Amino acid sequence: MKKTAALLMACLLPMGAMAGGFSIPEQGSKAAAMAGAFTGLANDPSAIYFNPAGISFIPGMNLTIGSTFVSPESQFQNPSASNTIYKQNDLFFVVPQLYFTYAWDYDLTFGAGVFAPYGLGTEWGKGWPGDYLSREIHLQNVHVQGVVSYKLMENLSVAGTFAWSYANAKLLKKAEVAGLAGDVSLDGSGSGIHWGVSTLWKASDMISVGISYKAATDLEMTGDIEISDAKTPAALANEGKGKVVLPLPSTLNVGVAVAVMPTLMITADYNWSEWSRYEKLEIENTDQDKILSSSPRNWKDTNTIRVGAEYTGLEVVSLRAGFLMDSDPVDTKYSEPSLPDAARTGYTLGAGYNITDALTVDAYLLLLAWDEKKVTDNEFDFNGYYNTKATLFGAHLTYKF
Amino acid sequence: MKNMTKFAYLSTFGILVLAGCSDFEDHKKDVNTGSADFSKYMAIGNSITAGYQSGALYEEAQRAGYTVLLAKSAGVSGFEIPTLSGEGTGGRLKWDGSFSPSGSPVLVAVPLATSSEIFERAINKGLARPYNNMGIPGSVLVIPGSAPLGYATDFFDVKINSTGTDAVVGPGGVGGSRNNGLFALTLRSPGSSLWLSMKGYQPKVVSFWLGNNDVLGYATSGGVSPSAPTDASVFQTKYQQIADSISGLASQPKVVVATIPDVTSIPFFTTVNVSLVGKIPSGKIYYSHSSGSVDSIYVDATTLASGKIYNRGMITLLGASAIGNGTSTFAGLAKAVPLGSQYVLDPAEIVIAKTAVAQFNGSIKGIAATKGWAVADVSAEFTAVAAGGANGKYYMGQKVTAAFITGGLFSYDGVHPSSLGQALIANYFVQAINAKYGAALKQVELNSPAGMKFGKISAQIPDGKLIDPFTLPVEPLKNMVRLMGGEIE
Repeated sequence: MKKTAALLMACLLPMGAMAGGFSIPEQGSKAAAMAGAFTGLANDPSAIYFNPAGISFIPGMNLTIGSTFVSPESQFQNPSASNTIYKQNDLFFVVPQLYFTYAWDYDLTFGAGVFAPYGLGTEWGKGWPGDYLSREIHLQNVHVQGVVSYKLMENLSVAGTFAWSYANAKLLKKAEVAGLAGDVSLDGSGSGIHWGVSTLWKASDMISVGISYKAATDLEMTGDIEISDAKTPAALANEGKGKVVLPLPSTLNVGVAVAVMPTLMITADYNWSEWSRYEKLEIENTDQDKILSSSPRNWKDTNTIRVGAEYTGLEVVSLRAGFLMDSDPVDTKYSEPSLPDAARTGYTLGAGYNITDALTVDAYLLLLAWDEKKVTDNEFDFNGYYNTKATLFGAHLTYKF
Repeated sequence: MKNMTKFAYLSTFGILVLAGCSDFEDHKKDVNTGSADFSKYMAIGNSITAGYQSGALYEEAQRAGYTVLLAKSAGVSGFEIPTLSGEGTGGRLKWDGSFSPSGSPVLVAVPLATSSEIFERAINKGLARPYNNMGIPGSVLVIPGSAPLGYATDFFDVKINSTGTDAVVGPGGVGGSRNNGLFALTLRSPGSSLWLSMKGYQPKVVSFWLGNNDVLGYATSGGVSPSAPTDASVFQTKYQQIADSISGLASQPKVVVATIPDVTSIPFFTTVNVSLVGKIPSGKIYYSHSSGSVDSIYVDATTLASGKIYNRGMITLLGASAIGNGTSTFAGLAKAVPLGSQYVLDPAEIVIAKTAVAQFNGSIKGIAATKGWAVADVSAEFTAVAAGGANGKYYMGQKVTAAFITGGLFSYDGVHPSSLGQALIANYFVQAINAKYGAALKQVELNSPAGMKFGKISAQIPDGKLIDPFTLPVEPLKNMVRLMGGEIE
């Protein structure tokens, strides 16, 4: 039974791209089209991710289904050693979402969602200069989340969420443990639980304010450690059950939505993510109670500003745009190639189209550019230039029953 | 409406800008040798400069040496070395791929070559000009003992004799054991010396790195023979004289020199004490001082944990074999049968060796500063690696420690750098040259470029399974000590 569940999950598992840390906030096309500045608006079922208290203001029964697609591009160059530009393998990630809301009675609204808010995937070539730091890392994560939202007042709702989170991680690098032979990989999976609280307050006809908090959790993944290349008996003795723990941050999102005109909504968000929880990456052999490799991360919390706009002056079409700026969780001192993050800037465009009264389709495009990261003071003496960008796009169908 | 138009305009503009800048900036930098003209580069040095590693000089190691890498970085073609094909001098220590019953990897030694075999393996001896790499194993800065008037007292000016097979420096030749035939194979023509070769070649870039053996012979022979490192003031005088000779060349070469690493932090001295912990019931190894008095070294877990495992002396790699090679009575286990003085660097000798290194480096840096020369501070880098203990130091994403075999920095002989160590040394030189001479030489990448083995030589040795020093082949190590000027029977 457990195996079947895991298999089912595996089918749903998206592969994430790198993002501010390894979160993927593009969890709905309407919100993403407004650069994710949606905490204060939260007026479609993707509110289950952005601000669950928003579902109190969505009448009836609604279903959203769709996906975000991510196409990243990243490279490293250290001209003090070589002019070679090392490019990451081309990867394409599919990040699907399913949201359901149901306005019950007694001012209670229920919601459920299956989505993947965290993920990571980087692949560098075998034998590349950073092989001892990282060759491949993949993190796949899926949340199954339930929401109960209660309307305290006509214009104020509060919600609580509870999510079960399943994750699978695969790490591969050249061994750095003194003498450990060849490549070491860990393929592990595990689950954790999350909770969150949120509120949405429609202060006036013009202004609404939302706050959403999600608690931190640790994804503790266990699986098999494998050693390839140099299969000496003693090296293989390091194989066995392994464990890696990836921390997920607590997040606080505060957003406001202002209807500057009846047909024009401007939204803004401030997001804080506690990435300082990611202090180190350790691969442990649990059979032998031995840390095979430990690498400092020492990330910092991130701050994100998002601004979005939606124009609804055209009959069946809504036009949306947005802009976002994200801070860098990783000082150059601790930067390393498994996630060459940097401060980011993103521009979005999107549209919604009411196919029928009950059926809406939303789509968006996000161009995300990472600042060039010039590293000169690296703890691992892995200095050079990282450049990253990504194109994200998505489409979602929403049906009102 | 106006705001919305503006926002849409800005967003569209942003997307167009981003889409337009779809290519990342290429930071490629052309190789540039600055004011240093590497078209005529000559390297002077000892075994490290020659590329000696794991107890031998052989072509693969020679080609992995820092001078070859440096020449490659500078884009030099025709950098000639005194190639010794195949196993070269012989004596190379290598892992045979098997493990002893205790799980320790088994090291074996290639047989030492005879001088005629070495001569035959010298496949580049027909070169009609001096080699670019004049690194000769065994070279010292100052030749120990007082040479009679008229003979050279520094290795730089030693002349090869008329038979072309040996070098002379007054009575007894070049310090007996140090006379290894490689001197003759490198200089070739009778009457030639390093200095005369240099004067004939008129190099435009010189790397000069001598001085290691002025203390290593003393230290690796347990402070016995020679009985002292080169006197610091003599070192200063000779270094200054040689520096004046080089800077006086008509070719006015750009010069890079290097400092001497602390000899007491190399695996030759730091391995055995720790390896003995838990194996000696009494927890003590007895040894005799050169004065004859007997003392003991604590090799128990408590001393190890206290971090004072070397406080009462460092047992050399050769000492391990002396402890282990007896059949009935092992040396060092009883006060009546102490380990010979030549196998232990006692606390006073450690201080003498460290002091000598510090003084030599003071001279090197001081003289280089007055000459305006670049200094590759190998000493500071190696010290940083050793100070990092098990965490070592990261270089270009790769962790390197000073541990025997598994650390990556040193080769199997516990004294000489591995190929990875040579690549790191090349990078110290690159950095020094770039900074001093406005050059932009590329550093050597450490991820096994084609044709060279930069992988840690330890890559095959499992964690925690140190080479058992008791099983080390002794002859190559003794040969190496002799090469460095130490007398050992």
